[in-house]
Amino acid sequence: MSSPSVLVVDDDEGTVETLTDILTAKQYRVEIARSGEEAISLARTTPFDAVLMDIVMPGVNGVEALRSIKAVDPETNVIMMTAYTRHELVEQARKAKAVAILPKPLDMDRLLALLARTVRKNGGSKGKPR
Amino acid sequence: MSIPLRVLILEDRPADAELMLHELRRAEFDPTWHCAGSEAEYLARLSPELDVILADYRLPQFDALRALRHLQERKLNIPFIIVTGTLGDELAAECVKQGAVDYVLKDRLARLGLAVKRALEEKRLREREELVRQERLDLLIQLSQQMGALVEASLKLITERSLERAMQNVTEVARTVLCARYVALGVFREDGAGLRHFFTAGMDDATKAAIGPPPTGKGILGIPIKEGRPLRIRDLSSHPRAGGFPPHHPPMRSFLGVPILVRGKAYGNLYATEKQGAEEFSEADEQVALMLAAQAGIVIENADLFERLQQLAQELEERVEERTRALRAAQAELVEKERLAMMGQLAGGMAHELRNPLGVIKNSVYYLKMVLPEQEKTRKHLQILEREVGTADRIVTNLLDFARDKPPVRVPSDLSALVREILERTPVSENVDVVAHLAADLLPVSVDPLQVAQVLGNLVMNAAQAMPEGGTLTVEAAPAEGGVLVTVSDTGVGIPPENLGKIFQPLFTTKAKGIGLGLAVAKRFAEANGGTITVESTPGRGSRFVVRFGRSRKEE
Repeated sequence: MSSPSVLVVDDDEGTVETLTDILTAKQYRVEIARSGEEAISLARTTPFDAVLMDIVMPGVNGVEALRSIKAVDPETNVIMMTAYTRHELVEQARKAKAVAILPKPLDMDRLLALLARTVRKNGGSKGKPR
Repeated sequence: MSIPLRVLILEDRPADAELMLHELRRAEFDPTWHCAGSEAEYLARLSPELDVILADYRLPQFDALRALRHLQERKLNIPFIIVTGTLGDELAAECVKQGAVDYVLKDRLARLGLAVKRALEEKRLREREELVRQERLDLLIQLSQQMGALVEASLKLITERSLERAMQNVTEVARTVLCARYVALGVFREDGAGLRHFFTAGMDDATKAAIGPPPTGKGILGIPIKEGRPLRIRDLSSHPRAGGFPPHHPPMRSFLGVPILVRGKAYGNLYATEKQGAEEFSEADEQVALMLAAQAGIVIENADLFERLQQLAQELEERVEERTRALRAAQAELVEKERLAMMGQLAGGMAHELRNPLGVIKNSVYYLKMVLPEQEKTRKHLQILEREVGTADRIVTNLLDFARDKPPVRVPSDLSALVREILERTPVSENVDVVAHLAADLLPVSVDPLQVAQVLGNLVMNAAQAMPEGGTLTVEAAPAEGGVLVTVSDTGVGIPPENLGKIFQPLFTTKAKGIGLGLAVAKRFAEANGGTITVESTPGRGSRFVVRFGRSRKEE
């Protein structure tokens, strides 16, 4: 059984790099998108076991991207992250059926536990290696 | 019975004089007489004692007209009757014009007795008239004196600024003008309950002291007020309503009391007693008293109006001042609000920007902890990094929370669970022991979990930082009457008593580092969520913060 796939979406390079390393070390297959637009087009072609996406991004923001991804596959599990705990987009993300909204700085143990639960529920690998 | 009569007869013929005396006796007079035959004799005999002068018109080198003139020059009011042989109408008229009261022709001498009687009667009448006129004149003089005093008093009243002095003046003037032994003047209080001023004239201090407190207007003094009209009494001691005077009041007989009225409103009363030089006060006195009372009334009314005016002016000034103060405060508040809004925006933006790099550092630390081999020093430093990132994040969050005033989103929350989560998320130095007593069956309270987490997290971090040399941090969550108590205690440095009142003020800090927002945010959020926060501390032994939240409304 191949390892579960995760799409990490964030415009912040440091976040993308550190999350990629941690998740890879935890045996996830990690894909990266650096904008909402990129995330939407990736999700359209590839199903992921989970998406980990920042909310406040320039251009297409996390909530709009979440809605587009859900429109393609309503079953996609999207975990949102944000530095803005009180942003109006946070409430919208909740309504758009995000699995969870995690404040930054991330509580990594909590994120990993949540991710593990999410992909297990999904019954393992969804995405295929490119 | 014959009437004594002192007569001077101006006659050069003694036989004629004898005839006149005969007629007088016949008319039942008892004459005492002198007969003058010349001007010199006449002048020598002229005296105010004379009752009548009987004069022949023509004498050698003398005549009746000249005799009349002498009389007038000496201002002697003695009836002068001409007794003559012949007198033309013209001359007779001239004599009457010059002051002769009558003339009798010698051939009709029988009329003499009647003429004398009539002259005496006329004189008596004239004298009585004169007396009456004199009395009237005296009265007029007295009245004009009273008027003069009144005018003087009015002038004094108009120019007198002090009500007390003005009323004392009226009282003194009334005593002089009314010729009263005692005068008193009472000014009512505005609410009508008793007197606000009481003035007396003619009474020394010892007498006043003996009388005691001013009258209450229950006895006779109240009558002019109740009935709104003057009251004049000849003898108080025999008056049926003369009660009300204190036992030590000097004895009084005559009384005059008038109300002080202005446009029907009673301002007080003025009363005089013991009229001097008369048995009782006259109607003129009453009029004078009424005029004085009217003057006094206007002065009192003016004084009251002036006082009201001053009060209003003062109130107005105070209101203007107050409004100015309020305006200034509002303006300052506005400026401060704008400043804070700008600072808030700045702080908010900065906080968000800092959260990303902090998050990246935290992620890196996590990764390094994962992949680096177990090595004591490395692990220790990674833990330090993790803890400091946590502290930085808390500072950033406090700044953010303080900058924006977000209303809480309150949901029923389990405070024990919240405390547990906070303790997990807030790493403390290794030399601090953390003890938690968290009741398992706490009723949920209605609070915003994010805000309360910030409250309790700040208290925990504060407690940890209060123990640089290590110690015990105790957190308790327990049910309390109507809610839940969370207590955060430390065994640290404590807070000096003089600072206890200030620690919740924003930007107050005693720590070398820190900006003094933690406790301010804790207090604000505790209160925003319907809670309270209190502190007790012993310097050198530690502090204890108690947060109390009310029970969730759904549970009540």
